[in-house]
Amino acid sequence: MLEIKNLNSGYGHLQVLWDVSLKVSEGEFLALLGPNGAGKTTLLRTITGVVQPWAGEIEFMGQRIRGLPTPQIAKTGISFITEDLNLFGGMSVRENLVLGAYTGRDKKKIRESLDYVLDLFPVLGERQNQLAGTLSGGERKMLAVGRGLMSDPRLLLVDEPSLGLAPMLVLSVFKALQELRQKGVTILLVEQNVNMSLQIAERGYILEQGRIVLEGQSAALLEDEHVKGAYLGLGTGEA
Amino acid sequence: MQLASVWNLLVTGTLRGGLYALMAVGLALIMGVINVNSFMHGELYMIGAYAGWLAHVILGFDPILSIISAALISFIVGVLMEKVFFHPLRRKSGEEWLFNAYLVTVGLSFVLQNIALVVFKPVYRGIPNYWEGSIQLSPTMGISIDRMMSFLIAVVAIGAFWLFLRRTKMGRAIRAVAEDARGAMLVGIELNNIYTLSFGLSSMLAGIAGAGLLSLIPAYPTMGGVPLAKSWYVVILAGLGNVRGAIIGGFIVGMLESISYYALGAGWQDVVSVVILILILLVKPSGLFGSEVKGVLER
Repeated sequence: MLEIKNLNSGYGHLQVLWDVSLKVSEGEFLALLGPNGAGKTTLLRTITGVVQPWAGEIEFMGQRIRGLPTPQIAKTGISFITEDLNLFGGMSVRENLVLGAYTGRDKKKIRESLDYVLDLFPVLGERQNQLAGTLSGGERKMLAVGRGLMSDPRLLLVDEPSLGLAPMLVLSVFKALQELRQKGVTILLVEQNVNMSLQIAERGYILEQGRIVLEGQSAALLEDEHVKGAYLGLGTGEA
Repeated sequence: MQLASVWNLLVTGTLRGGLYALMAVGLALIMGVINVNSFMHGELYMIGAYAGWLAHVILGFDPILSIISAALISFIVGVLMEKVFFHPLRRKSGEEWLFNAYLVTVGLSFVLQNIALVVFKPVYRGIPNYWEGSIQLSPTMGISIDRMMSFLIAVVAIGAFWLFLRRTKMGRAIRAVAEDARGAMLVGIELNNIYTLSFGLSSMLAGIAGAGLLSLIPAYPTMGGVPLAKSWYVVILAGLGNVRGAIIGGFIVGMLESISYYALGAGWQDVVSVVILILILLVKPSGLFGSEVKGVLER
């Protein structure tokens, strides 16, 4: 569904991504893991056009999306839930959600999406008319995910949803993501929480210092020595 | 104080309020959405005034049609300005956008004033009134239909604009871009279209003010100076980029000036206004309705 070949990207003169290649198959739940500063967010930003790539190819559903402006990429069916959330703070929860469906024309479908999201996150329904800026951290995350779902996306890119959340809320967000997976949404999850991510994702990539260093099925990655040592605190003392 | 004076004070204050609100709303819009600190807003008001004059006096359109024509012309001028000057500038500016855009508006202000001077000459182009007659509530308290209509036009324009922002998809999109441009891009909103539309709407509102008040304030090449200053004053008072605040602020300022005029005399209006602005900013730097002192670059 999404294919990235030899992607090089960065900010100004600073190169962050070096020859990154990865594939996401339709219906998959894929995890992109790695330490802070590895370039995971940069990769998501490059895919969605927030950052323009320096070299390489990005193909989504057979269409080359490299170099397209962000709104156009959004229209192809990719929804990006950023780490900063980028919510419309001065607008109500409901307005934020409605705007999520901006590219849609079918009012009935939009209505259905809204019902689905409010069902998935009941707290958003309770706070429908509240300003987004007044929500708590967890509620804001849910709103961001909900807004991303309003366009009925084919591919959902989620950047570190667990960051800054109380463990119970982390569970509910991950549970929501799993529900989406059942619905057939393809998900690319970027996370630092390696353990939890590999529990729900089927496959994962490890990005370190801008390069893909490991790839494999989650079960295999969880057993990998390097992963165990660097990310799971189960090192044997060797690198 | 006599009832007649109070009445006059109210009428003048409300009318001024309407003018200031119309002007300030347009300015607040482009500051909030596009981050343009416009010093050419007065010239858009001037263009509206001349357009209204041309439509009514030269082409003989009736008052309402004249004002609508002026509104359309102002909108088109705004759209053209944005596409020709600000769009290319934005692509090249990067971080220097704020200052560059400001400079361009100063330059355009200068150019537009001089074009008007050459084309229309330094002659006041006004009209005695759009509508005849007056309504008398009592022997000493009356209001000319002309003034009443000007006020109504301002109210209708502001009201329609407000409904547009609140209830329509495009209006929501404009507000979204003002809130978080990246978030807007991520939901599929084309920023450039929003920028162009916002500048067009802002110019249209200023143009309606210019044409709507033609009978009170005749068209003149340099007529934009005072409305520009007042717009900025209202916007600073209300909170930069705050559209709702600009509307309320416009009326507050209009009424305030009217009261000062009657209580202290003509020369004191501006003194009172500025003093109150300073006091309010000392206590609440973000303006009466501003939520926080957020640098424009932090949007």
